[in-house]
Amino acid sequence: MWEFLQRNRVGLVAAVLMGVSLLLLTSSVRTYRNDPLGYLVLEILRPLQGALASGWSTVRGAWEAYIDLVRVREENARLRQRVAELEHQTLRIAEIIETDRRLSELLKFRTHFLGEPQAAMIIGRDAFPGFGTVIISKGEADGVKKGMPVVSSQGVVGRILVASRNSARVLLITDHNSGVDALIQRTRARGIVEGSVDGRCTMKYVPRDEDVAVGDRVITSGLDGIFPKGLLIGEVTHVTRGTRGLLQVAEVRPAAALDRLEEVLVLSPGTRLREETQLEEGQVDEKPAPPRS
Amino acid sequence: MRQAILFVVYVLGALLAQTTLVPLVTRGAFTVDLLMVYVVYLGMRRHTVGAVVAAFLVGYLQDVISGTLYGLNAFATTLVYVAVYRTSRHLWVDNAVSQIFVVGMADTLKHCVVGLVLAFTWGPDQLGSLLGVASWSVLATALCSPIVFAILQRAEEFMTVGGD
Repeated sequence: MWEFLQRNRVGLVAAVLMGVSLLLLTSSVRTYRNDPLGYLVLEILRPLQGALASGWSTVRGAWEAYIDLVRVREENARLRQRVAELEHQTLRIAEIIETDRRLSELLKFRTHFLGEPQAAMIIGRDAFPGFGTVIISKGEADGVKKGMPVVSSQGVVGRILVASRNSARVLLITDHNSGVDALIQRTRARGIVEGSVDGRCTMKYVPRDEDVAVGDRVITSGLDGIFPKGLLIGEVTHVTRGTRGLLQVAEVRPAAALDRLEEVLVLSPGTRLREETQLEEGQVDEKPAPPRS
Repeated sequence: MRQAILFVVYVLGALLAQTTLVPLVTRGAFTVDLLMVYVVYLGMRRHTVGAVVAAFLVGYLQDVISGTLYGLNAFATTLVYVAVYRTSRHLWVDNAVSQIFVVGMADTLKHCVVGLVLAFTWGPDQLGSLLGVASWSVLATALCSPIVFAILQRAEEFMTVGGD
């Protein structure tokens, strides 16, 4: 008997303990009671659990702060990209608005003419300095021919030098080969506006006794058979009248910003300004010129 | 005496880890039953009355700090101890893979016992969901067991050398 107990003591003790467990279980199913051992264990664990939870909270806080930092960095990069995109978009919108403004202006200007002016874009400029030509997006296919006048809403630009099927070169009024028959609007004094190599315009062949002053507006006379009468060429900036000779020379600043032009109108032969436009806009002064002194 | 000290230190540490650290790290998704690993360790290495009592106490300690039923875990851990003890007398289970397997089986057995008891007390409808929740914990416990076994073995060796 003793030997049996000795040999199976582990199993027997286990059986007893399982029995005790079942008894405990049965009693606790009926009523839950507070065990002093549980109280003791909780008291022992409490400071350790508190320290561990606090330590973990610190570690987790640091980790989350790091993760937040990474996220902020990523978001920052994303937002920078977005800002760049929006800036690009804003630039495009501003460009569209500006183009719209110019085209509206050009369209309005187009209605001032009798005939069918062709709107064209400037797609190229002269490759060599000293030559004032530009390339436009309309050519013979659109009815553009050599010699046709080219204007912008600001004033005279030049005339068609050569036209291919789908584009054309325009000789600007600032080119030294250009010449436009012109009038001083105020006094009706006549002369020829020519370009120069340095890109300036001068009004030549004006009789010395004519009244020409700085600030006078220079318009086309219509007598060259190219430009309609009354188009603004520019403004007199300087007058040179020597002590001798029969003529005087006036420097003219072109009204059209030729170096910044983007759209132009090509006028067909015989095109002229509407009469009411001439009067309203004051582009041509219909008053008779004052008597020459 | 050394075993008693090891028991107290390990059980306190395991309780601390199970009640605080593991739930914080896993955010309550699963738990690692380190006390169960200790019971299996005892079942495999210590075939004494003291070990049976230790297995019972481990379960009882779990009972006093978790759940509302005294004796539930005590019964289960004692049963698991006996099962492992009986198995280890016939099979050589002392490598990492067999440790994972035995701990997995032992933890499953424990959850089944707990589930059955709960099914009797609360009704059978809770059994399925309990086992579903427990499966991840069983896996995690089993996978952790080789490390825990190594720690326990080192601790025993250290205490033996220190005692000498």
